[in-house]
Amino acid sequence: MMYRAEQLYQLIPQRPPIVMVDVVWSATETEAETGLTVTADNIFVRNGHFREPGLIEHIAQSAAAFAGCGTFLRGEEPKLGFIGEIKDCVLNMLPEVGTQLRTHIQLVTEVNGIRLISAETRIEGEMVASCIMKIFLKDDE
Amino acid sequence: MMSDYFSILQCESEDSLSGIIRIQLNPDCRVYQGHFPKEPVSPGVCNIEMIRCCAEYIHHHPIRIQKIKQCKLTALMTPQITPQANVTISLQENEQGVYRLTASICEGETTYMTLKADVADE
Repeated sequence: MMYRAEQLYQLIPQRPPIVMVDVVWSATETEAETGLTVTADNIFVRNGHFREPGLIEHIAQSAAAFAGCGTFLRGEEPKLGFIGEIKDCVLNMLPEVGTQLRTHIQLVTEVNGIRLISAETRIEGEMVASCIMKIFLKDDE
Repeated sequence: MMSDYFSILQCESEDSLSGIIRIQLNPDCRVYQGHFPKEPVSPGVCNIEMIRCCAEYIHHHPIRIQKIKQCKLTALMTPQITPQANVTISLQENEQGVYRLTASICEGETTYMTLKADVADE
């Protein structure tokens, strides 16, 4: 199942101006493919380049959308997710406005609502960023 | 880029490699419209960017983050609960123009973020 643009609002709790994923190409129980086209009005663009916080937020929201696919299929609201830890994060380049990022998210482990994911972001096959991220999903009270 | 996320109130720094910066978060920054509606939480990535800006301020030169070895987000930060905080910066030159940045965001007894990163002059 593919999700685009505002359909993604069913998967992630973030809203403009900090929505940093615009497509989920596919998602399974253990992995997902997401994307983002960098537009000039993106809040993390400076001097025509998508800066470090934008890349990291794109990965975090890709992981959120991946988690959201599961809750959406169960008919639940997306849970708030918070980054707990970022490790081994390599930022090879700062993408230009107009490029499309494609990100592969892999679930490494999930214990008590804490998800460990690994992510790789590419532009036309070329590695842009990679990292390991620990994400806490907040349960509804 | 969001230039109104925070402002610098005070800077104690004796060289261009280390210092402590007192910052104030801006609750009216538009990032809170989306993070999250009805529940403003300071985005972790904006705090990483705030650390990078503080490091630039002390270093007197633009820098870029190349690698994050480890970044721990140890407490939720909001402009309501934590309007001000201290950002501690330490840069150690590894090779020409490349530095190991060690930084934290703290207020009182609470540590909100610790960061170890490799940064380079831009």
